[in-house]
Amino acid sequence: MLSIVLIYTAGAVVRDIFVATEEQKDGRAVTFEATMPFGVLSQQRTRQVIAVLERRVVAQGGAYALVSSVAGRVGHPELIGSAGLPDATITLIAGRLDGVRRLPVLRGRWLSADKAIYPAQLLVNQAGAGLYGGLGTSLEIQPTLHQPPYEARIVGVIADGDTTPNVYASLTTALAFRPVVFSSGDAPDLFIHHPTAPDSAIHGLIDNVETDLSVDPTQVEPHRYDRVAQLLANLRATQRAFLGVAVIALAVAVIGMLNIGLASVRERSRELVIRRAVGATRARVFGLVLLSAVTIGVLSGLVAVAIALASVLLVIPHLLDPARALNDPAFPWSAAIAGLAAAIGAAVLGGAVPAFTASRIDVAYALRD
Amino acid sequence: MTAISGEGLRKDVVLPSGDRLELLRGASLVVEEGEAVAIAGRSGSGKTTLLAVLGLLTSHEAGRLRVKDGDVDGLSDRKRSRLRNEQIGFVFQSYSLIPHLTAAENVALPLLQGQSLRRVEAKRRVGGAMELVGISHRAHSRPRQLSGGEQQRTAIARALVRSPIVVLADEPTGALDTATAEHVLDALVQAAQHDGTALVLVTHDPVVAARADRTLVLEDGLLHAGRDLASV
Repeated sequence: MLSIVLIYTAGAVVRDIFVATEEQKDGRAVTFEATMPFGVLSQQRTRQVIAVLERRVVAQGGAYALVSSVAGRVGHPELIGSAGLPDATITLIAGRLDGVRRLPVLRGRWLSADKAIYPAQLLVNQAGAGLYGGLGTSLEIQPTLHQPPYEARIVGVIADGDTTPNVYASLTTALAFRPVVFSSGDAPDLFIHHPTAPDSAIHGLIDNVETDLSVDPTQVEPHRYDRVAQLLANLRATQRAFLGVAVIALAVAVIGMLNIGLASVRERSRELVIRRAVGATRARVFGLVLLSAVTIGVLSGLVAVAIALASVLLVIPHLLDPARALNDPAFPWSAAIAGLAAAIGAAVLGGAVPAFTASRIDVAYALRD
Repeated sequence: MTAISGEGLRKDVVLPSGDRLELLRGASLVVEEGEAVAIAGRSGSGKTTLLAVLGLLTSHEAGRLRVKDGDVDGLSDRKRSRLRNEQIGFVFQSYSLIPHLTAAENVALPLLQGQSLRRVEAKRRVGGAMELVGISHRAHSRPRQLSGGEQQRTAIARALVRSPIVVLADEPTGALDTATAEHVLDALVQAAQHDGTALVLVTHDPVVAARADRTLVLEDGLLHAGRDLASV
């Protein structure tokens, strides 16, 4: 019983944790990536791209993000020019990256809508907050080393699941202050997420964007970016294997209950005969023995549920990586129902033969000592 | 009115060797309401088997058995169980109390098997039956805390709690010392008389048999009246 409940519970909890982690790392289900040759991404071209994406994606219930990782510098104003300051990976974003990936804001807020804001707004992850300072820290950011830095301020600390310092900044702001961020060959990655649309519908959204932006469709190869579906398929396969083992364990438990039940009937035979002698029918004796087995089954099922509940509510929260900012897992009550059903089923299967044996005890033995 | 009657009862048993032994070869008896009948006989004569047949604990091969003027031959197990519950009380030599139940719970056992009674009524009946045999002060004791005499009184209360038409007692004092046996027998006979219940006592003890209104001797599978008990 315990094996069934724990496997079911572990399956549900692990699924939630893995899916949340995957959604944080790569993207929510369903997210597509498409690298589009936008041409030189100027401030004006970016506005045009954003307007099309708002109309074609956001208005249809989806979310998008233009993402470009650049090797630049971030630091305090007095340090930004020093030779010893290491390069930083700066992720420039337009749209809502937090709509595409699960990136919970731990402190502060997300970047303002796509517009030029001075000083520029920055998001850092937990490791970045440790390196650069927390909320409100004034810094300077230099997305490209051949252009001077500009002033920025940390407006939010997010959990991106990464343990190395990461800085996120607005692509629109960067283009406003330093128009030549990208060379002609550079193009940000476009991520499109829709929570309910099938893959074919998302392809349709991307086709519309290509048309509106006059992009050559032969140069765009959209592909599914998130791995949630693959992860779930792997988890299902693993869970099925474990359930197979659990079913075997359950079958062994049924045989065990059958043997214990038969031994119990032998031990209680005098009592059962007395009950028959004073008027209990065979059906009543059958029910009495079966009820005993089911009671034991339900009790063992409840113990299994209690252990699983304690594991989920008291143990697992302490095992979660704080960098992932995962919510404490909810107890899958379906596991409790499945476990209790398995316990009752096993008790009925294991108790039926002893109950039948008990109902067939010769009542004439009442007069023999 | 007849409480229980058997006419030409035949019963075979199969021995471990596979041979069949005719224990009852046409035994007949009639027991009236309120009457006490002792059945005596040698060991192995079939007394207990006769009691099992009369108590619907086993079926007979031939003959006619009637309980309270109703023919019981061919009844289903459910109906036989119901008759046992409502019309027949048993007192066994070894008391046959359920060890994990209290004396009161043992007495209440027949009330739980058949047609259910209201809790208050069941409690009243259990109290009344225990009072009748003088065991009410041990109501909450478990069998292992009771003496042999108290256990048998509890068993008698259990046999009477449903106010049956007949109580079948198999060597009811066989496991007791003489003094205790006498008290228990008094309790059994008086309680049966109090309720107008017929009593069938299987015994090989002439003293016990003497407490009955009449004695039948089981010999060669038949019941005989007026036999000398000394020869049994």
